[in-house]
Amino acid sequence: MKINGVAIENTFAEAFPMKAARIIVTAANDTWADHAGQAMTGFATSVIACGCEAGIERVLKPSETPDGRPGVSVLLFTMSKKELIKQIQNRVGQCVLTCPTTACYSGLEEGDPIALGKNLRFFGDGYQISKKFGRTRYWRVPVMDGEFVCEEQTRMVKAIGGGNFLILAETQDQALAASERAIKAMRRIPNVIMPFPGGVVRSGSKVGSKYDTLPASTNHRFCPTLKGLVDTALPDVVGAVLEIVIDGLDTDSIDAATKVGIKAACAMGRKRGIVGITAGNYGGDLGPYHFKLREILK
Amino acid sequence: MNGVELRLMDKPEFDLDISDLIPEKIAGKSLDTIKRIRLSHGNRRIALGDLFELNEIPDETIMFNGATRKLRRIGRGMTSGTIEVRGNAGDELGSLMSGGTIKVRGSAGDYVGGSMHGGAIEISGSTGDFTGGALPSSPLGMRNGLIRVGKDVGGRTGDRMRRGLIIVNGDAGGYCGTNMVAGTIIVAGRSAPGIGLGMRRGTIVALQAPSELPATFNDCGTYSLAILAVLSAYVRSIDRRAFSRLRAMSEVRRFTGDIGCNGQGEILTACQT
Repeated sequence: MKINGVAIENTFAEAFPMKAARIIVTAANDTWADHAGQAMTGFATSVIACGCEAGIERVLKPSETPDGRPGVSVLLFTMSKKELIKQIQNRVGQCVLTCPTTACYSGLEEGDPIALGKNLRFFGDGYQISKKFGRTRYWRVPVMDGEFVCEEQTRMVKAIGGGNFLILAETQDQALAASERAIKAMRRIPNVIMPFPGGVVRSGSKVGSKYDTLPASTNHRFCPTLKGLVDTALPDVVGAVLEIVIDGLDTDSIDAATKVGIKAACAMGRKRGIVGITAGNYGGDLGPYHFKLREILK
Repeated sequence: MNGVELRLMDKPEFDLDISDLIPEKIAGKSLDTIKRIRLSHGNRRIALGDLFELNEIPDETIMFNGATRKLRRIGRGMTSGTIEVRGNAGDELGSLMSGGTIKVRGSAGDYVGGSMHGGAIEISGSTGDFTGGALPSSPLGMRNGLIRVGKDVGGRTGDRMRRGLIIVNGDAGGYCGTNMVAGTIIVAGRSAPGIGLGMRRGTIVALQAPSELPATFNDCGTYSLAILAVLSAYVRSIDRRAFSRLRAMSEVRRFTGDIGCNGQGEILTACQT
């Protein structure tokens, strides 16, 4: 299978079950909503060392938010419910509560309820105010610029982490350009985030290492500078590989993001240096979700 | 059976206690059985069929047609279903209810939604005193639910209220929100003196600045509060008239009290222009 002369390898991305929550952060204007969203999703590229994977799903118009102000929708993914609760509390507490003019709401209506403002309210030192409208309880915590409004609970749902594809290009510039095109297209798809910097990761990993203390290490078969040294997975012409990792709330959304991302990357074509598209997996035995590239692109 | 329509044949001479006529108590009963339900009429018991003409209606509703203020305790303690009242309702409408909906096309007496735990009450006209307040037998007023009043409410609305929302599209009588423990009252019209006295917590949103506030409320300044936008969005789905007036209030002046009892309640008023 080829798209614009770019070879699509007959392989699949192997993904894993995760827990996820969507949080809506609003602020007085787009700038401050973005500041809060960026801070909240900082250092959240991989569960391996960050505790969670998080990203801004999309920017929200005032008409889409609970308080009619500009906002962002943030998705957080973890491996366990306990970790999700911890990450939400820490990240909302340190990055949203602290950010001028912000408020914070649940972005999901279904799923298991977990704390959002339930514990953060104690920052109010007894001056916090509970407001329950219908079935939803909000907390108003007095802060120096007015009030921090936070919904008491959000919802946790089952999700999927680790959808991915790799772009093989002749040069680093070409791989980067194709990745940027892919990410731009993928950010239009709801229910997914690409948690790495700019949505792109260059340090694809394999399980294990020659060093006992490391659970993961560089995927040497995809490192172009080692082509002459190891059992490389790369054709001779490939000079750079970049990976896009996708976390999503459901398989359909990851399918959709994978499809538009690969198509956007392949739009550059073989003539402009894009050699092939492949995906990362562990042989299919570890992750229950397999995203088969050729089936998705049919 | 489906629903039942009850039309008063004659005006009752005395107050009539209707509390036995709630959806869960008459579910599955025939019209004849319902007619035999005995009601307190003054100091006597009287068969329902002696006062009301009963008809089956397709909607699963209890409908009172031609109701008068003599019909007391309509929907008292109901947990589900719908009651419609065409005409006026007496005292204690929806008191102690915990679910379901009561709609009144007319006015109602005192203690509407008194000490209710949940559900919704909609009144197109006005209500008497202690709307959403505490029944004499209860330590707290409404503990959850919604009361919408199309016109005015009497005195001491939301007295000792613990949770829930009261929307008043008209004026509020004296001592609105006295001794509130929590919850929210929105008054679109004028508020008589005594508003908020004894408040511990809770919120009164006065869309027209009260002519007079108790001396035990302190001015905290003027703000644009995000929670008001959230409240406004909630009200939008239940009362368009109140919503349009609430939405127009971009900034509010916040008064807190009642400091006479170490209270942290708040009265949010429209800013004077």
